[in-house]
Amino acid sequence: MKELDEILLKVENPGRYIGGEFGICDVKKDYDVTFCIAFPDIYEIGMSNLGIKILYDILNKDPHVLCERVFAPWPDMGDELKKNKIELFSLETRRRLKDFDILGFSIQFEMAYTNILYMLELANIPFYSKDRDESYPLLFAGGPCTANPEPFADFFDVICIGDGEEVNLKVSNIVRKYKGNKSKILQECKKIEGVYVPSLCSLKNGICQDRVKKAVVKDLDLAPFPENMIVPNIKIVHDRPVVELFRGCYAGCRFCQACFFYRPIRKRSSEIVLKLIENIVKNSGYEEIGISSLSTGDYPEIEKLICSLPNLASKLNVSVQIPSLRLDSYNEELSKLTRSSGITFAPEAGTQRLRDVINKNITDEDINYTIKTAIINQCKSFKLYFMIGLPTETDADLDGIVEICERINKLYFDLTKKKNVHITVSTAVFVPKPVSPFQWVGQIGIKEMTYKQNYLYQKFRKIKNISYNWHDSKTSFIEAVLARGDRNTSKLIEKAYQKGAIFDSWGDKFDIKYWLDAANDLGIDLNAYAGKRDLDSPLPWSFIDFGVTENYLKNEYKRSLKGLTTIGCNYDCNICGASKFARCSQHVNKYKKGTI
Amino acid sequence: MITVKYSKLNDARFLSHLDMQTILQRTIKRAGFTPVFTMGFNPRPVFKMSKPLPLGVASRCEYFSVDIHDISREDFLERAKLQTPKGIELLNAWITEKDPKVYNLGVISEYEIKSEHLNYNKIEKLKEKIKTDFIIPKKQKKKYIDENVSDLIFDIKYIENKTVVCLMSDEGLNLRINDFLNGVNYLFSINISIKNAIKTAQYINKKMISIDTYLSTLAEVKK
Repeated sequence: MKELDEILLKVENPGRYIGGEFGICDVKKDYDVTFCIAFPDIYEIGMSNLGIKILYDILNKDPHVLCERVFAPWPDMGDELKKNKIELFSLETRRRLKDFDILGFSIQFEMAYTNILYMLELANIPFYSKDRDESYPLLFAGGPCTANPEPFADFFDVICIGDGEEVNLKVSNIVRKYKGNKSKILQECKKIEGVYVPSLCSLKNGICQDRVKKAVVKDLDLAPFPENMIVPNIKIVHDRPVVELFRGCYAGCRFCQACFFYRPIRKRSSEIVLKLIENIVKNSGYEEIGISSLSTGDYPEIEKLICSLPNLASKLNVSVQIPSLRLDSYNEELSKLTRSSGITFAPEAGTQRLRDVINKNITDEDINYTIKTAIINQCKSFKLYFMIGLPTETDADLDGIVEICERINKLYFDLTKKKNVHITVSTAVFVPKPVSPFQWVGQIGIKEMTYKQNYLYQKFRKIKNISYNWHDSKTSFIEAVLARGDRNTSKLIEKAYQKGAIFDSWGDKFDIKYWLDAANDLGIDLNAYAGKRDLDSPLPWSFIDFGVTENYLKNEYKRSLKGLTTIGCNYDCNICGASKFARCSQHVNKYKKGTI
Repeated sequence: MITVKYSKLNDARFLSHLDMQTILQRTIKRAGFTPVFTMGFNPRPVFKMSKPLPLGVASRCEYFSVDIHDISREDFLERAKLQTPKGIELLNAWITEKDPKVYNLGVISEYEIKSEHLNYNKIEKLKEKIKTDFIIPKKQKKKYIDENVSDLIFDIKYIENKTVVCLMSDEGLNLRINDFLNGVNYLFSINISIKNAIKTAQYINKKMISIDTYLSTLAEVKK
């Protein structure tokens, strides 16, 4: 492509579009099926995602499949492609997306929905499944957003709900067998556990009547994990390889979708984790490695890991990044693992009452203990994450947020006699998500969000060493609409895209006007989507069997309104229903509750 | 200290200087070599690169030096050659006692420009022009300033359908190939893209001693 060279000279960061990184698949192999993993955001974000690395590895290990990648081009590149009439192509072989057998989108967040259409348009592929015949690739979707696949169900032919490790290979095999016969492919795909074929399900009042089971990898130790990772040529957001410790979460915070969507809890044994770390670092040459899970401190074999990891890290000359630490699991041993002088925690709510409502299960003593431990370990900067707009929240709870920050200042002065501590407070707006106990809760209005953000801003501006950031309220509102949308939402997404909405998760690109205009044109009431749902009426995603039962979630919701907490699964099984899919790995966290 | 010559061709020319640093360090690590680290609070490998190349320009003569204890030139090349990403190829290596300071060496850079817009007559005209002045619009702090760079063009000739130009950096003044091409485009009202230029050699002084020769001498001294 001669024009492409000229284009690459004009656009920002051309390294995004050239491919050819170390560790890509062997493009010269014999294959029967071509699969393209599409990520509806830019290269730097997409390449930081662990899921697509796992799937890329699994698919390319299959002798019949050639798997490539494509990311959403930044608007400057998108415009150039359109102007020069170049169709969107894959990174590895520059094959047009249209020429692939399967095009699999990894959908990580709601605000990426319009980017799916953006990429399809650049590839000259019709948006709706019903408008595509055999000459187009099979459009496949997966990722956390499949907790509620209805908003984008009309666009896709096949949707994988849950873990994609096994389903992707099965779908590729079916496509290989029945190439050219779309209806047969769809029928066969429908038989796979964890696959939802929107065009083949019966609808009643817009709600799917079939029962679709979530796909679950039963044993993580046996599940494939890439030891040869692609090493990006340019700097990406999380520029380090990551090893997954366990899937699912013990905590059970009631606003959290990931916790319930990824249950049952399945762990990878520490021996395998250490082996993986060693091999990945040797094969990739990275100078940093991360371990990942929803709550690293709750990893059942954390003691073994803490014992061996520092030695391994110094042997390999790498630093270790441990994200996602719950406040109550932080202790001296963990703090020694990372050398950083800052610490990040998410108390989520300011007062004990509200933390009980959301079942965060951390007490004021936990907070004090953690702050003290961190300060003793030379920590000089604190980053705190809170949510605003949680159910039953009042101004007193916002005052609680300020109080926690003041407490850090006081403890820091008491322990060090210095004042050189810096605190960053970030507040996100609560977005009710499917498959969480708060899936019925209504989101607060944009006005109220702004009031709360302003309330906190006025309080924090008086304290010198605190910087306060907040999430855009308008984005959060649209996120709530899309998260709990139904089949009609696809038209809203299409309309908003046509009005100009792309890269909605980027603050500078997002404009709520596109969405309001689109809703207006279609006669859709956005507030109804973001508002409270009736406990007894079926939800658009009720047809999916997530393991965790709707009754369990309902019960949790009712308990939250009474301010009752539910203890974490690491102490006792709460019988949420997820263990029917696979053995749930329970343990007792011995590290908990130390005192200074 | 080992100094390695590498090429950066095709799509790899869209990689920035800073990205190249990470790419090469990871290449060394993948090959199984551990560089000597600095002794500071944040230890970093002792790693140095030759002068940055403008984004979009290909090169057959880039250099980096890295300090690794007890290695042989052949072993390093054999292992590290397999670990580079597409478009980057390790060509040669020299082991020297002293740090050759590659970042200072490229005083004169030689480029080949292949373009149908340029021919013998145009180059002769350009030569005449350079004798007096050669003004290019140079971008400085978001503004374009006209600058006379005729002193920084060391040599220019037209051979075998190619233009060969030697650009010089002198006492802090530096003429980059993209600025030179802008000047040529401006002068003849043509449009030559920087994708037509490729860096072919670097020399350490006006006597046209190439970095390769210089490094070979240093390596001889060590032996």
